[in-house]
Amino acid sequence: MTEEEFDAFYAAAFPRLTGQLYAFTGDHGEAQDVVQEAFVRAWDRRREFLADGAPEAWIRTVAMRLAVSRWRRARRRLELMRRTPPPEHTPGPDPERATLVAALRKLPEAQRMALVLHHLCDLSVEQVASETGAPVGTVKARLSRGRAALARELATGEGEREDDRVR
Amino acid sequence: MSDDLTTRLRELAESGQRPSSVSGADVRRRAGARRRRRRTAAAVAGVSAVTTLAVALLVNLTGPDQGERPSPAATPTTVPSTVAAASATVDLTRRVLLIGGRQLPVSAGTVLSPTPTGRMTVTARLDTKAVPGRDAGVAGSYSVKIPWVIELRADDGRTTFLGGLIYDAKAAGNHDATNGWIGLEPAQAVWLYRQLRVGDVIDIEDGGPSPSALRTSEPGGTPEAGPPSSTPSVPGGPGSGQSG
Repeated sequence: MTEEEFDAFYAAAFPRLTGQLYAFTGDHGEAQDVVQEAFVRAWDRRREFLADGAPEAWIRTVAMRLAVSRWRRARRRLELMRRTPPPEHTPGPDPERATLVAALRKLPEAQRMALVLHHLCDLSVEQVASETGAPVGTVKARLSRGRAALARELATGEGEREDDRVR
Repeated sequence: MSDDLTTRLRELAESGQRPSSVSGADVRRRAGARRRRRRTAAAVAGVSAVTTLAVALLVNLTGPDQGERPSPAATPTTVPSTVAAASATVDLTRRVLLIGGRQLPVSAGTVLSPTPTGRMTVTARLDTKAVPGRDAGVAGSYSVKIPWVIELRADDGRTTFLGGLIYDAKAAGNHDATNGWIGLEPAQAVWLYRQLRVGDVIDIEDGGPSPSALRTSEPGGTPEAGPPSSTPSVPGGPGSGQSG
C-alpha cells in the first residue's frame, strides 16, 4: 500500500468507522481517538494489516479493542456517567438518538459489541463469534439479551420519565 | 424489532460520523514516531539488562572468597542470554509476595507438601480453577473452586499456581494452608491477576535456613494433623434458619 493509497483509504473510511465506534462507545471524542490510533497502528504494521484482506474490518477490530481497554481503565468514571448521562454536545440532539445512546451505554460491553457488530456492521453471528473470541451460542445469547434489554430500556425511556414511574 | 434496531443503529452511526481532523500524512508520521519510541524502549530495556548482567558478573568476580573462587572453566557458563527481570517475588519465609513495591500476604504449602521454589513463568491465567479438595489442602471436600488463578511453571517442569484463598481468611501472611499452591486474599488475588500476563517471570524464594517451626506454625493447632482450623462448618444445622 503506497502512501497515497493509505491516505485515500483513511479519508474514505475514517468517518464511517467513527460512526460505528460512536454507536459502540456513545462518545464522539472517544470514537475519533480510538479510530485514529487504530489507523496509526495500521500504518505501523502495514504487512499484517494488508495480509488480513479486510482492511476496514482490521481497523474496526483494533479500534474496538482500544475502546474496550480504555473503557476498563475508565470504568469507575463511566459508571458515574451512566447514572447521570453526560450532556450531548452535538448541535440539535435528536432526543430519540440520545435515548438510544443512553440505553446502549447501560448494556454490558459484550452485548453492546455483539449488537453493534451484528446489526450495524452486518457481520454474521459466526463472524461476530470469531471476532470476539466467543462461541456462537454465546453470541446468540448476547444478541437476544442485548436486544431484550435495549427494548426494555427504550420502552421506559420513551414512554415515561423517571419520576412518574409508578409500577 | 431487529430490523428496526438495525435502522436505528445505522441512523445513530450516521449521526456519529465525523471527518478526520488529522491528515493521512499526520497519521503516517505518528506511526513512524510510535515505531521509533517502541524501538528505543526495547533498546533501553536491552541495555539495562546487559548492564545488570555486567554488574552481576562484576560483583561475582570481585566478591569475597577470592582464594577459593573456582576457575571460570569450572563454573557452568550457562548465563541465560535473556535476563528477564522477575515481575514478582514470593518470599515463603516471610509469607509475602513482592510486586512493584507492594507486599501482598500469602499462604503457601505446608512442610508436608512444600511449595516448589525457583524461577517460574506464568503459563496461564484462569478466572476459576476447580481443584480436588485433597490437592487444595482442604480435607473432606470434593473440590474447591479457586478464583483468579495464575498458573506457573519452572524450566524443569515443576508447576504451581497463585490464586485466591477462599476457604481460610486468616491464613494469608500468617500460616500455610495449602498443598503447595500459593494463596492470597481474594481481593488481592484479583489485583494480582490483572497485573500479571502470560510470560511474566516470578521468583519463588524460600528465604534460606529458617526455623521450620515458622513455616508450619498453625496458630493454636498441631503442626500437621487435621484440616485447617477454620474449615467452614454448617452453623445451626439444617432447618434452623428458615424464614418466611
